[in-house]
Amino acid sequence: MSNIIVGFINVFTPVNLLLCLGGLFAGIIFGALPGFSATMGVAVFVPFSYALEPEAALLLLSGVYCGGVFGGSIPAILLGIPGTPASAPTAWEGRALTKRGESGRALALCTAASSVGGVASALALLFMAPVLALIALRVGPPEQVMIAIFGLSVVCMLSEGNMVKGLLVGFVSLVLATIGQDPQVGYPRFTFGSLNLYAGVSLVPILIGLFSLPEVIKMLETDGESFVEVSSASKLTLKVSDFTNNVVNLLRSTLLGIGIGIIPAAGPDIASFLSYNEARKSSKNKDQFGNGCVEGILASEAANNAVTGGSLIPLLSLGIPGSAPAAIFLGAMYIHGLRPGSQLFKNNVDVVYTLLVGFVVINILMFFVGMVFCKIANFVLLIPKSILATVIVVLATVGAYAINKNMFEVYQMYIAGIAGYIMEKNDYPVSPVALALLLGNMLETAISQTVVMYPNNIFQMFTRPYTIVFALLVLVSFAWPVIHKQMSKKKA
Amino acid sequence: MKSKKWDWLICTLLAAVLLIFVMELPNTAPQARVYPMVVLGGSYLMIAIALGGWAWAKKNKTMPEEESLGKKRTVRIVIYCIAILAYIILIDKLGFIVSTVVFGIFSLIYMQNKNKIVIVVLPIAVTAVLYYVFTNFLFVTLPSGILI
Repeated sequence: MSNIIVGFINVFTPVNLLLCLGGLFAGIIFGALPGFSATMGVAVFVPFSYALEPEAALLLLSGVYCGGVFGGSIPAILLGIPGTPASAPTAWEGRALTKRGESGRALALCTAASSVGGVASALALLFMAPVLALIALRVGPPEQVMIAIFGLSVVCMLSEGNMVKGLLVGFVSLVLATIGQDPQVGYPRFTFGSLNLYAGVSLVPILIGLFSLPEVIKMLETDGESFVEVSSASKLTLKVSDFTNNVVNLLRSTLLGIGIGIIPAAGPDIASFLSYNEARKSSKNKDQFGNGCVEGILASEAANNAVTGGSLIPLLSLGIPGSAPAAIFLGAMYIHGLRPGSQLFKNNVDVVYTLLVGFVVINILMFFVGMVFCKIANFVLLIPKSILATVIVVLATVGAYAINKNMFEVYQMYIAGIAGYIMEKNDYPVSPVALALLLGNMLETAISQTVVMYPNNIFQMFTRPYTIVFALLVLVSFAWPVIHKQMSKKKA
Repeated sequence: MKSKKWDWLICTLLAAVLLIFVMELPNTAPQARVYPMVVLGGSYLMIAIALGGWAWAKKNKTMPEEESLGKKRTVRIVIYCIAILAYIILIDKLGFIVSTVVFGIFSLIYMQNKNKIVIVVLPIAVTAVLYYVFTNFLFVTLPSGILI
């Protein structure tokens, strides 16, 4: 308890509070720009942290991390272009709300849900880090196979009503995910002699292309006069009933986010999709999903921000980063002379508890900073479409280039954009592409590692308790919609 | 399945593209072939089901009436897509600054923005801000090309 008090005292110094706010501002900008991400933001700010004390440095990077994950939802809601892959589900619901003239409500919901998820995960980090870290130790390749399959089952849910096309898109995307070096022997596969393909297809440029270019092309579908039409920007409003009606949804999404955050290599992207899927399955208003459903936004945003604290749990306790930004955190900690692991809580208790308390404060501040950003960003809707389209194309191009400073990524973005438009026009769902590209590599790597672990009989993996738990989750995920339908029929 | 007029073409093209992957399989290490074979098999199965669904819908005349975009709008979209491609190709040749300003001016005029000040000032301002932020703050060197 005394350590927590020391943490509070350290966080609430003027310099540290300013760094928290500055980090949040910068992180939100990084998250909001297509092609940028929380990972990039944290990486860019690591050199800036050299001159700071360790606590101050970690608070700055935490602000960038949390802000970056939240920031992607702002363009997702206003323009239908997620700033980060984790905001893709938010784009589906938020954009629909914007078209109904409720952009302010969508932005406010998203900010509040992100803050709730972030605060919950920060509290889990503060009070339960050592306990939850033990779970992270038990998660191995067999469990990751089940998680990947669980994640891919979302494809079925997202393709409801168009299952064949959704599965087709999913499978083709899994084929695309095999391009590059194979995870077993590192041999180049399907590279067709191109060095650019050795690293595989890049997820972020493809997502930028899939979400941004079709929106621009759709602006051309309307007649000339409407190029200068402006949408209306609504006030930021929060209804208490939106939260009181979604307590279970928020709790489930937050726990899912924390759980996914603990697992190495899974990140906010996966948490966001899984949580959205679970919200949709449990919802009494399934028809509203895709048409501006509040539950979908709350689920997606609470989960993706809940990953932030969760990903630091294995990092601080075991030195195992739970996400890409957490991996950069690890590097920053080494630079500042901190060694993650069990000794960290003994040798650097002041720094650790300043970070843990600071994480809670940052996520509370994120609500206020986020609302300010949203209020300003809302005016984007008043910009004429001719200007918006031009700026989006330029930003998408530069964002795709900036990832690896390679024009090849830009060409991938362009091809994905054209393909995305054709897909939308012909009722091929776009969402399975993101999921399959995200999870395809993880699935293949986990399968090959599991085969090495159990060369004689792969089904021995089901002797592991956590594998059974995740396998049951997969079964329930597939079976629940059918069971629920039968139960509803019986009731009727 | 929601069948559309162009499903047969899309599925056939996909099948052709995936065939390239199938032909590339022998060049892959044996241990690395199994997983791609499974997902390729799944893809072809889905293509077969999709084509079957399209054929059934066509035979039973259950394909919904589709609203066409119209030739004029289609041409407008195609021209803009070609313009974006030209912009991307020219970034390497002419450099980021020149190609972005040129594309910005073209795009605003093409989308019938009538404000001459916006048409001239906005592309220059956006390009300048992006160049400054990327080069000085993010340390990303943007393509310089033969001009700037």
